[in-house]
Amino acid sequence: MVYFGKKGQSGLEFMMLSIFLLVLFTSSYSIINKNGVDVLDYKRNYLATSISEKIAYETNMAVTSGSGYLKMFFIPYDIYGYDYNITFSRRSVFVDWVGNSQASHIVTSNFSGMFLKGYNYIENDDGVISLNPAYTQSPSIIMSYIPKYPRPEDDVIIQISADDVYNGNKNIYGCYLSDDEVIWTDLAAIDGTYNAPIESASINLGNMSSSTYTYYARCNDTDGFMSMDEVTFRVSASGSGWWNSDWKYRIPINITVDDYQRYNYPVRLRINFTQQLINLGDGFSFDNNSIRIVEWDSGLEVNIESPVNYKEIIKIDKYYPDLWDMTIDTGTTRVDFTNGVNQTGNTFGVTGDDDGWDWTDSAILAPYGHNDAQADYFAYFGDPDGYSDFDTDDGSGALKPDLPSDSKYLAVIIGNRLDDVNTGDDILDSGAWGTKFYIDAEMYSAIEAGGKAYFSFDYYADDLDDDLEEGAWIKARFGDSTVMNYLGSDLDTGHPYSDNTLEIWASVDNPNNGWDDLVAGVFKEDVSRYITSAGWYYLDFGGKVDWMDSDSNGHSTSEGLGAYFDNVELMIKKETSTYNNAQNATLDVYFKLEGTTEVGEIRNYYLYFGSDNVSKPASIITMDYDVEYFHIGYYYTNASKMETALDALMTDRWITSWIRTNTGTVSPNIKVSTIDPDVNVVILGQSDSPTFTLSSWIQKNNTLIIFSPSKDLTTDLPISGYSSSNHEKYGELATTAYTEHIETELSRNSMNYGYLNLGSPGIHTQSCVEADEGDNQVMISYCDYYGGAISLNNYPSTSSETSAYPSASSDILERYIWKLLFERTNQPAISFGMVEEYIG
Amino acid sequence: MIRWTKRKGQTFTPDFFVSAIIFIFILNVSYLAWNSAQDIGSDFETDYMQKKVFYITDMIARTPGYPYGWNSTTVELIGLSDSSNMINYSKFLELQNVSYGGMTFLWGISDYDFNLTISGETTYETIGKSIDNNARYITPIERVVLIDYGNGTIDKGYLKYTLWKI
Repeated sequence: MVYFGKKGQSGLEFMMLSIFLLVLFTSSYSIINKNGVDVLDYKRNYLATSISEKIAYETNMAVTSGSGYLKMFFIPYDIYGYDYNITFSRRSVFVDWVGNSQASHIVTSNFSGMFLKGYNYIENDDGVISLNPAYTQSPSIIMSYIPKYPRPEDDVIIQISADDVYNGNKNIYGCYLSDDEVIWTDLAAIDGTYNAPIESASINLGNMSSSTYTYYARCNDTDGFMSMDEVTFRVSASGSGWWNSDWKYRIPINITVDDYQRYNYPVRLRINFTQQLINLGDGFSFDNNSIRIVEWDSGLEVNIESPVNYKEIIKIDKYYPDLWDMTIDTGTTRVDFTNGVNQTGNTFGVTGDDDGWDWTDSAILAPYGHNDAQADYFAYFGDPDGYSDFDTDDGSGALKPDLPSDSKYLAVIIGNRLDDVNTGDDILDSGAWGTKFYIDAEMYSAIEAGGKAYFSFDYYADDLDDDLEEGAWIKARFGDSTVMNYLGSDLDTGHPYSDNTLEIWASVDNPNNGWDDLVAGVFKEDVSRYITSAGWYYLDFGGKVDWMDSDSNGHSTSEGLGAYFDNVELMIKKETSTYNNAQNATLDVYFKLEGTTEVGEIRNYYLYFGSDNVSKPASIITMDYDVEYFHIGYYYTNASKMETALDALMTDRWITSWIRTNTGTVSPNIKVSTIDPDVNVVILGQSDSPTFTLSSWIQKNNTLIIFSPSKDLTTDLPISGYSSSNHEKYGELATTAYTEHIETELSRNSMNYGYLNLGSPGIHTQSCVEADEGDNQVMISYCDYYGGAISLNNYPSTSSETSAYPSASSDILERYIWKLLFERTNQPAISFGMVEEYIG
Repeated sequence: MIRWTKRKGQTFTPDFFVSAIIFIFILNVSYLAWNSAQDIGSDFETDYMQKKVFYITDMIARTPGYPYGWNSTTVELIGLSDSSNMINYSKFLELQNVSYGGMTFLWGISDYDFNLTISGETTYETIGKSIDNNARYITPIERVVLIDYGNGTIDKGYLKYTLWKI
């Protein structure tokens, strides 16, 4: 039998405890809950108070801050789930909710509009308080486009974002696009439906041609409030950004290299800026300081400014007074006597008749001096080859003159004097050719306007028997009835033989052996100062001998001076700039394709410019003109003098280094041939120089300086005009060294353009020449931008001749390095785009 | 003979522990709920006071008050600035003619106490009561201002407003 005796104490106690806890919890829960309700009520009241005080604060601030006050603020949409109303009464704002109300003091309830749950705008406009004026309720719109720098091949996409959250917080109703603000296209929302205060839309415009475009967008919310925005973008071939907003205009320039690689290649553009400004509707004059060349790097998306320079277009007017050339010979401006000498009489001197070429046919007329013991002489035209005798009229006794192949020229030959070897005679005699001519009013006006009159001729001096020991001169004069002025320079002062007048050439030392070979030269002088009015003038030229008989050798009939003259020209040249920044701002703009441009590469440039409405300073990055040219020069000297010149040129911008591999002797044989692309200079020597291929070299380099003492440059130089074993021939260029004014030779032979044979025209000679004596001093500068070519003929011969007349030649031949500048015509393909205007 | 008999402890039974745990749990919950309610109330008070001092000092330092050209008897909105953050010293002096109770009424802080002090290089003026650092709630704010004395002298100074509740 099981006995259950005791009752479970824990069960009773547990129950008691549970009851106690339940009572405790119930009572405490009530208290806690009541406290929580009180707190919640407190929160709601607090929030209501905050709202009323917020409204009062914003209103009072708007009133007291004055006109122009505008502020956005937020008030809650509800009071912890309870809706509320905002009312105004007795200069108080009341926030009412579920039987409760909180109030705050405001100084006025006189305002337009209503407070909204959410974001509000309050405005004080001249004392009028407005709530949420219409313009603040319109959604904010932002337009954008991609890509950042669109090109014609890119799809241009316009994106629009509309946000009404802070502007009434209504849903966006729709967005629209237009390019003219007249016809609008609906845009679909990106998320498919317009049902939120923030929406986005986009449209793909596809490919667009190069131009500037403006598009407009508008979006409205469900309350009908609408905003607009616009975006402007530029589609350009390079897809470039504008370099500097201070420059209003730019011209796109694309340069394509499709034949061979270019290195630091110069480019020239001719642009009429006046017409560009007219097309743009800009009524101001062109500002030439504003020119900038900027390259757009599409890879890095950056603009890089390039060195630039520009030149005005010079109009050249030339006048040629009639110097009595043969009618049949008028194909050139020079009197070259090809078909004879034109004369209808012989009245030497300005007081004579205008009867063509005159010569001094008697001792009385000896223009440059004579004495009683005069030599026999004759002035001759034509070809004295074969005439070996001096004679009064046709000469005899002299050896055959060493004359150049072109033998149609004027000659003055003085000699044929036999005297006693012991007693001797002091022989002084001279002879000349001359002509009278007229300077008309138009020619004189050109000189008055700043033009120049250049008188030039070829001359040759021949020691007829190679044994002329005494003084010999070539003289020339220019003047009018008042005075005849000697031309040239003083070459004889301080020498054994000297006179008181200027000369063209002189042999005035006492070498005993004369000079062996024909001396040739080109004389040119500016005679403008001697032309003082329209009227009659005279020019003459000839020879002079002065045999002061201290010579124990005496004189034979075979001795004499042969002075020959050809290609006589008087040119009046007036240069007038055509540039006018208001009416004709046409300029040649130069810049370089910096670095290497590969075949097939397209480089994108922009020429930025502006009018003087907003003037700009000139660019500090300028281009060196010389860099653009292909230099060809000739320097005639002996080896030691060449070394001196090269040393002096070490810092010259055309030469930074050179190598001398052989030293010459009396007949210099400079075998220096350096091809160094880094310095863009080639120095060539004589015919046995190493082979040099010019065609590929000139594609990359800009400067070629040729040094050669050789007599026969036509065989030794690579640009001579025909092939040799070591060099190539290029085009029609011959070579010449000039004794003095090189531009004369350029102008007289410059009717044909010389091209280097690159398969297509490579180098266009621009007839621009500088002569540098090795100390960076430009002696002669002559540029004819209207063309002309270089056809180089005649030059002094071997170095031995330089020693034969050191006093004269050292000033002329031996110190100069002649450089001929050629403008490149083989430009890469250049295409221009439409001028663009910066609009932001 | 004394007989010791073992008797089980009646208190430390499993039942006791269970009930104790339940009790402590309920107690803690009640405590947290009560405290939370109290904290929320305190937070609201602090928040309210911060907003008040901001509104008050903003009005003082950035507006000329209302009506324009007010005096101690006409003032409705207390503003001491003729241009933003520049205190017109004469207006501050005029404000001192308004009673303490008037100022608390105008500012809507009748349940609080305040102290307004303007100090500069050459001046130190205070309005209101001395600050009670033992107050239960205390909210100060200090703004940098310019003080225009009206005689061509302008001073850089500070505007300090302290609001507290005991």
